[in-house]
Order: sequence, then structure tokens, then C-alpha cells
Amino acid sequence: MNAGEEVLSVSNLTVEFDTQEGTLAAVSDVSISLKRGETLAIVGESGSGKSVTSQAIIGTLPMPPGRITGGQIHFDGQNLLELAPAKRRAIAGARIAMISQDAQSALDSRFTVGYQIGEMFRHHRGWSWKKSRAAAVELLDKVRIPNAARRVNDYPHQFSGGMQQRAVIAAAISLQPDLLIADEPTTALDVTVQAEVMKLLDELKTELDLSMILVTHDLAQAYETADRVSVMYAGRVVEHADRDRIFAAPAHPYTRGLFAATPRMDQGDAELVVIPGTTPNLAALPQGCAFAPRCPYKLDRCAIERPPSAIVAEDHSSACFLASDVHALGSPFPKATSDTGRRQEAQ
Amino acid sequence: MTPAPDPGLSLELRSVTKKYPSKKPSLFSRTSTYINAVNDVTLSVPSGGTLGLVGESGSGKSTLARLILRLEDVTSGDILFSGTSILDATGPDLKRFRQQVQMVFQDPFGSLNPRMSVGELISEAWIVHPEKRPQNPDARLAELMAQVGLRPEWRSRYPGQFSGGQRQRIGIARALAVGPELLVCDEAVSALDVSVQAQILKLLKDIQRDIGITYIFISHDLSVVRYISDHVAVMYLGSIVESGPAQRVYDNPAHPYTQALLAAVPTFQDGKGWDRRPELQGEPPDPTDPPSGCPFRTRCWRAQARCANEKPLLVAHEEDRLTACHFPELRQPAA
Repeated sequence: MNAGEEVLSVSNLTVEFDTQEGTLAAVSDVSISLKRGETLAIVGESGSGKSVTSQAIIGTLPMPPGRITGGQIHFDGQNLLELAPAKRRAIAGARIAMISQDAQSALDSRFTVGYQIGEMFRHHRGWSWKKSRAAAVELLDKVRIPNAARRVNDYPHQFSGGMQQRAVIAAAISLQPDLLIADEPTTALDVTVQAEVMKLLDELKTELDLSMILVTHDLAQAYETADRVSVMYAGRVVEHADRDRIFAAPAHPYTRGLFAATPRMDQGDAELVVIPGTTPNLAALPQGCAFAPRCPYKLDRCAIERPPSAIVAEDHSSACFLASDVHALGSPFPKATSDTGRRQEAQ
Repeated sequence: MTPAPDPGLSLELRSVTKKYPSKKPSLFSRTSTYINAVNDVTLSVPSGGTLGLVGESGSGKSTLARLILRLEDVTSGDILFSGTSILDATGPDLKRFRQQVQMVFQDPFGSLNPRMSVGELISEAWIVHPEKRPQNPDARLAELMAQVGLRPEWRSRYPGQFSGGQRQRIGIARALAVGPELLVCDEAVSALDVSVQAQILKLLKDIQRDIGITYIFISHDLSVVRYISDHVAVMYLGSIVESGPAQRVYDNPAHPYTQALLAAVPTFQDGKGWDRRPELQGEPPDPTDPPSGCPFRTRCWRAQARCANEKPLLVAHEEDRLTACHFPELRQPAA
């Protein structure tokens, strides 16, 4: 694959779940695409469908109760949804890799870390135990675990939380995947460890020429890591843009509200602007725009009609009737009433 | 020498230490080892303000909260609430303390009895503290529910019918029902979605402005602590390494650990954050075998010989600001 080429393209993906409350669409008509070497952040709150989307891509969606009822997932020119299960698994295991929030449950406590990483080579490549183990040491070294040759024989519980997540990353990159899906990779980690893991992912991305999907609820993390950002709400992508555009001037009221509601380190004495209400129940979505009941810019038609995606700038789209007007509002961050300490003192 | 209690302080901790025996059962060794979960912590919380307590897992911040609530006994030191020691309070004194200090928990799902209605949950505290039972409980219940943003007509609903954010509102109303002076919030917004988290944070601020209650706000989320706190204290391995007014500490952290911690938080600044960050060496030390001298020296990039020999004391280097470091980075404020 060449640079600039599309690695992944998801179009009109719909995933339904059968629940006690009836059938609900966890993901509706979602389209995302990813170019080689690029990082796409999927940002959203719980129930937005961001994790279900990534599960559908890698093929770990629990089916049943889940069901892919529409759309296509093209990876390297093939529609993954049309492949035979065995073929799909071969791709999912080797060329698409995933790391999730909970490193502890991704590792099996009964086997050494080295055994579990080596297993990737034995299973997918049929390597000998000795050769696989040597490769595992090399990988642990690559994810900056000190004394890799010795630590390869440790069991997961002998690793700290940050080191466990590094070991999971080592296993994920073992077969040199093209695409790495990181689903809230640092949520369970302490903040200093979080920073180390994100730095490692960024370095590995360049080193291995990886494309990455970062699923996160943390806007600042998306800002630091991503090239492009898709914002999801109630199972749909409501806004998509490159990083600089979306943070400078979001074009969807939900994105704008999310920015204004997030406490920042440089908040100063600015107040948070609250989004009223709560995330909707997917089993009882309103007929029109799912965000309308919480939206400060709501029009009458929003309750009846679902707004289509509108283009407000190059590579910047928003599913809102007022997309251009919201976009024109500019920076979403509330201003501090007085400047913060240092600048004030400098005057 | 015991300084007289300051009437402006809601809570005062004096050299509070909590040791736990470390569980290493051995048939042959009777020498016991201890973990200093909280180590010589001295701290004061002004009335009507918010103290943010930050630190990573294992730093001792939740143990400190448990000591303040008297859910655990201190090993040594003293805790004063409104000027009186709470450590040997018994009977009616203890009961009064338990009414004046309330807590809001992290988990809005596990902390409410699913078989009690919202009205019963909130008014339950009046059974435990009958002296706090209002003249007109129904009216007071409606008032409390309105105060936390719940509709009074929901009083006969059950917790299962509410979202996480609304359950956290129920938890806050429950805590406020007995008119406490101090509210300890341990990761109270950590389980909530961003949009709902902002609602609860603003609610807590509004309540404080209206009734002048004091908060101790414990969180691993440094941006959240920045927003809600007047003062912050940073803990590392059971000790407070830095404390002071929130804005000044965040703008100019003096202790290397505080610097590393604050720099680790992703921001909306240009460039990759990790290029600005000081790199911490190694892993956090084993609490059963803490390093000699400064607890942070094994990971510190400014550590020198003195740091291994002598534990730095928490001392004031400018008004209201304390740092436990031999080589703090003190910046003169621009003239």
C-alpha cells in the first residue's frame, strides 16, 4: 500500500442489537475512512456507538445479539463483510489489530507474557517456540519494557498496569498490522502512564507506518493524537473534519456543546457551559435529530426530520440544518472573564 | 506545642499517619512490615472552600478520605473538625460529627439501594439523625430535590429508572439532607459522561455558593480538580508533596512530581504534548519498601545526593504555598 491511499473505508454501516426493549440500532449509517499513516479519532460518550463501530471493523461484535444489517467495510480493497469467516479472521488477526481499555483482561494470568506474545507467531506463522520467544523479547524491547530478555518470563501480575498495556501493544503490533484500533487505550491508567502509552503509540505509528483509529471520550487526547476526528452521537457520525478545523470551529451543536462542557487545564476562571439533559435511550430515539431535545439551536423541523450531512468546508461535514451557522460561531471554548494569573501579572 | 485551632478552618489534619501491616504471612518471621498509606500529612481546609486532592493510584488520597470520615483509625496524628479533635469523639459527639460530614461516592449505581424510592433514599438520613428531621419533611424533600435538579414529583420512582447523572444527584441530595458542613466527594464525577459531568460539577459549585458548604474533592482527573478547587494538595506515596491555591499551583508547579503530573495531561496546545513533558524514570516505588529520603527521588530528574539522605519537609516558599522538595523550582512572579 502506498501513502495517501485509503486503508479502510466504512460506508453506511448499520449495526442492530436485539434487546429486551426491542431492536435498537447501536450504529446507524456510519461512514468513515482512513488513509495510510493517518490517525482518526472517533469521539463520543457512552452509547454513541464508537466501540460498536470498531468491533464491527475488527469482527469481534457479539453476534447475536448484534447484527450487521447494512453497509460495507472495505479494507485493502476487499469488503470484509463478504469474506468467509476463516479468511476474515486471518485478516483481522494479522493485519488489523486492536488494543482495548482493559489490558488486564486481554492478558491471560496463567501464561507468561512472552508465551502470549509468542503465540501470535506460532499461531499465525507456525514458528518454533524458540524463534517466537526471541521475537517476543524483541517486541517487548520495542515497547520500551526494560530488561525485556528477563521480563519475557514474567506473568502478567508481575507487570504494572502501564507495562501490561505495553505488553498488549507488543502483541498487537507483532504481525506488523496495517491498522491498529485503540479503543480507550489509556482510560484505566494513571495520568503519567497515560502520557507514556500515548507517546509510545505515536512513535510506533511512525516506526511501523501504521494507520490508527483512536476511540476516545477525551477531546484533548483526540486533539493531541489525531489527524482527523469523527464525532458520534446516538449511533451516528454527527460531525467529521480534520483536527484543526473541528477544534477551531465545530459545525455541529453537539460537538460545540461537548467542547464547552469539558474542563480544561487552561480553563482559567471560565465557567463550563452545560449541555442539558442526558444521552438518549437508543431504544426510544426521537424521530428527527437525536440531539434535538438537548440542542440550544433547535428548529421546529429538527423534531420531525433528520438533518442530512452538510459540507461546511473542505473535508468538514456536519449533520445539522444549521451547520454553516454553527460553524460561523468559531471557537467553542468559553472565554475566561479575567485572564489567568500569569498573564495578568505580566501586564 | 499545639497551635490553637483556627476558627476559619473547617478541617485540620496534624501529622496524620496511617500504617497498614503489609500482608506477607510467614511462619518463621514475626517481624512485621508496614505500609505507610498516609505519611505525616498536615493539611487545613478553609470553611466554605474546596480542597482538591490529587494523586495517582496508590498515592493515599482515598485512605486519607477514609481517615477524615473516621471510617479508619489513624495510627498517629490528629484530625480536628471545627476546632475539635474527632479522634476520640464518642456517643453524641461522634453522631454529630457523622451528621456534619457527609460523602458522595463514585459509583452512582452501587451506592443507592435499588428497592428504596428516591423520596425514601433522601429522607432516610432523618431516621438516623432524628434531630435533623425538618418540621415539614415533604416540603423539605421537594426543596432538596429541586436544589439538585430533580423534579419533586419523581420522589416515588426507584433508582433503576434514573440515568447515572441523575443518580449522582440523588446521592448529593441524600448527603445534603442532614445539613452537613463538609462534603467529601471521592471521584464523584469520574463515572459520568462528559456532558453529564459538567452538570454535576456546576451543581456542586452552585450549592456551595448558596449554602457555603466545604468540599474535599478527590479525583484523578486534574482538569476537573482545576475547575472545582480553590486549593489543591498533591499526594505521592502517602505524602503531600505540594499544596497551595489551585490556580497558582497549576500555573507554576514547584515540585518536580507536580510538574510531571500536570504536564502529562493532554491539552489543546499546538504540537505534540509529549515533547513538552518531563520524562519520569522507571516505575512507582514499592510502598512496602519506599526509597530513603525523598519518596520521589527514584523517578526525579533533579535528584541529587541530598535527596537520598534527607526527607524534604513540606515548607512554605511563598505565601500559602508549600513544597516538600530540596530543590523546588521557584519562579518569581513577573513584576
